Amino acid sequence: MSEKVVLLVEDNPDDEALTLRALRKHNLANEIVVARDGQEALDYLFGEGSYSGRDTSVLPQVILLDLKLPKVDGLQVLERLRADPRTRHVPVVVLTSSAEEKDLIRSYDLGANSYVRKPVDFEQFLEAARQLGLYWLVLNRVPYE
Amino acid sequence: MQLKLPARIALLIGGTLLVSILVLTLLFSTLFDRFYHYETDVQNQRLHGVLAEGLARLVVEGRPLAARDRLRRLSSKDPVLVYLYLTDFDGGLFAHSFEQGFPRALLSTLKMPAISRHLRYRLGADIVDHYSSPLIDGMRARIHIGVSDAPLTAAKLEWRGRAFLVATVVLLLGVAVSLVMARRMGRPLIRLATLLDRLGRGESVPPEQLRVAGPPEVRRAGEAAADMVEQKERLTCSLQEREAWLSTLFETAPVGLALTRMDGQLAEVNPAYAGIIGRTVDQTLQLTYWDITPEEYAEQEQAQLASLEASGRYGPYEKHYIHRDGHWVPVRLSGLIVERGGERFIWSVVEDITALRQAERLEEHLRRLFQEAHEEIYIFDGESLRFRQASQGALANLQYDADALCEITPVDIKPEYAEEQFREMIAPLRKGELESLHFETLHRRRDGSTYPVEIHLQYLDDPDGGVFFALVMDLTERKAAEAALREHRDHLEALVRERTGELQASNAELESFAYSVSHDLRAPLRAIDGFSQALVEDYGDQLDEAAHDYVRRVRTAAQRMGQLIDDLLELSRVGRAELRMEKVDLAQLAREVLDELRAAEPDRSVEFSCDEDLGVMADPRLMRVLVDNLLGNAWKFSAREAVSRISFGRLRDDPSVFYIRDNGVGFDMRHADKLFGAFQRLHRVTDFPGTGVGLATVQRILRRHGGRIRAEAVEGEGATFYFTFNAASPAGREIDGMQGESVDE
Repeated sequence: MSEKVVLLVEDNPDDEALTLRALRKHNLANEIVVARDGQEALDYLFGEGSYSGRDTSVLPQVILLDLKLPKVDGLQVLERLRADPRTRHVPVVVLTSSAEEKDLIRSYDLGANSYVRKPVDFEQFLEAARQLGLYWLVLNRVPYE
Repeated sequence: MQLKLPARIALLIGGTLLVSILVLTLLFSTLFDRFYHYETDVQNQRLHGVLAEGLARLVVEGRPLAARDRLRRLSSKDPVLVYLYLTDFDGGLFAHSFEQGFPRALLSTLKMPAISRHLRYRLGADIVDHYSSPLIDGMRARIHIGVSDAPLTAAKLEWRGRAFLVATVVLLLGVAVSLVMARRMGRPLIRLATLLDRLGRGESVPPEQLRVAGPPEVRRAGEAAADMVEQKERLTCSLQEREAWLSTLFETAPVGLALTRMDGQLAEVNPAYAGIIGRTVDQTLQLTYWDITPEEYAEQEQAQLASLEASGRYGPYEKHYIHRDGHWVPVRLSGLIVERGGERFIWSVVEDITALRQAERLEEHLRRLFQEAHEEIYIFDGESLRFRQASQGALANLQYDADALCEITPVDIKPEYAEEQFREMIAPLRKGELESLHFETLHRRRDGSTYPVEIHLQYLDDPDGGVFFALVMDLTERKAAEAALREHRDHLEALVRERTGELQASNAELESFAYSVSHDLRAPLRAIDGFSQALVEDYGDQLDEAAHDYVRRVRTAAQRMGQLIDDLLELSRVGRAELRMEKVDLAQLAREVLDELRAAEPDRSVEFSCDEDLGVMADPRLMRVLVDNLLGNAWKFSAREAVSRISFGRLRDDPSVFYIRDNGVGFDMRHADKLFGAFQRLHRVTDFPGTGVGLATVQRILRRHGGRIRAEAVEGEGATFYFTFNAASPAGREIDGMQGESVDE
């Protein structure tokens, strides 16, 4: 069984730090790859740009995807992932500040597997991260494992 | 006492017979006497003739005794001869036949003049006619003979008796016959007379009764009377019919007819007359002419009266009558003086000319309207098409005077039409196939300029030649207005598109702003809270108690800020979201919300009562927010009670009003107006947490559903929120009014 990689797509360094802290606190991922915008996330997944040459057969166990991103936003990233047969089955958890219903619906329309709103309260955030990790990294099975 | 006719006739006939008989008897008696005397004379003559010579010789011989004997023989021979005596030449008695001497009574006869031939006197019991004559003519000696009247009297008496008998018989027979006759003739006559009497008294007698049997004259008289009666009956009948007919004419005459006494009292009027002044005939007869004549006419009336007196007629003239309801009725009246039963009346014919007046006024109005109209109205001949009349407006616009216009036809001012074409177009109007014709074309003024017109054409058939009416509207201004309107409309549409675009852009901006707020404002808060926590976790042992307290405050503030942002976003979303109306059971929602609240605080003791069936048509998501907020408040503000009591239901009086009641801390009604404003709070955050946005959101939700909300509370005893989804209902208006101030989005 290959190493379980988590791809965190997050442009806000504070959120990135907090998310990493929360995930690590629960020892939930061996490797966490951080993409700071949508384009970088796509480059990573499809082995392009700065990630050219990467073995694209190694797919993340789960992608934690922020929606509001520079360059290519989260929904576009999701759309591209689901359109490509290589990444079609990668679980995507939308992790965002937005409580807008249209974001929620659009995310599910595009094939998101979960939609989690980032709470302000860090303890709640920790709890959310713990549950996410437990479910997606431990319990969930993906076709390409 | 009047004798009956037959009696009178009998009497008359009897009387006449009697008188006739008497006269005849008298006549007969005289004749008899005459005859008798004549007979006697003849006898005497004969006697005289026989005796005269012998006696004369005796006288001459002077032999008285022989004469005496002879006389005595003569006397005895004829009893009628009472006596005979002779006088001698000197008138002395010569001889006589008396036995006892010459009676003294006759002494006077001796000296009687010779001419007295005959006298009568009574001698004893006998009446004697004395005759005296010379013995021989020329001889002075005379013979005197006394002839007794007795045989004559006896004969007379006998004749008289017979005559009396005959007369009586004749008389009786005459009376009897006349009675019979009179009765036969008189009876029918009397009967006729009686009937005629009755007729005369005015009684009715059947004509057949008058046709009496009887003598032809009476029958004829009866016939004549019967004919007369029949004729009279026929006449009476026809008179009655005529009277009835005249009465009908009077009663039903469409003009007012009135018989007025000279003092003005109305004596007889017909219903039409009463109708003119709005009264019944009976009411009208209580009035005088002056009651219904306005004072203004007093002078004119006097003039008409004078004319009436002078010529026996008045009018026709026009005036007004006073109608029962007070208004004046224009009338035309004329009349004349008539006499009836010796009294003079004014017979008036009165015509209500209200309609005529109105028609005249209307005609005048229409004439002025037509002539002075600024609109274009034309009348033109149906045959020649030449204009007959045109309104001022038409003349002015076309720049023709009336005379000049009458020389041309509509075709001359319509550059778009040739005469044939025009005639063809209006032909259906003349044939009656079409009532009116509307079309638009151009009119050419005298100066050659044209203007657009809309023409309404109608045809009026008339025995004197049909005419067309044309109502023409100058469309110059309308066309301009239409163009302007079109321009405005185009402009407006552009404006609306522009504004809609702006609004859409603004909405989009708002959404993106809300999105940014939601996303970007929360991130720093998360960092503040997260790193504060990290600080405590990683470096907690290096911080003293005060530092820990500060970090806690930082984190509380950050979390509160996050809550505020969430609530604000909720409020904003409630305003923007599209409504999806569905049937929503508020009771079901309330139970779900309460279950969640109980789950969060399982230690609370809460009694919740909820009506069944609180179904409404509303947006289910917003209803959830509404129930969340209201029940959440009730839950929150009753937290300090030993047992919280929360109820949710509809008002019994008005099921369109819902209420949610709690027994919590309530609030001061003086601050009720702040209750529904955003960020307005009536309690300290330390007492009860909250952002003050919940009720603003609730109010916004209700307003978006067309509803209203208000609250009632007593401090320390609890609060009740009343809300309805129909602001237009009485309850909705009441809620509106009680709220005092309305917060609008």
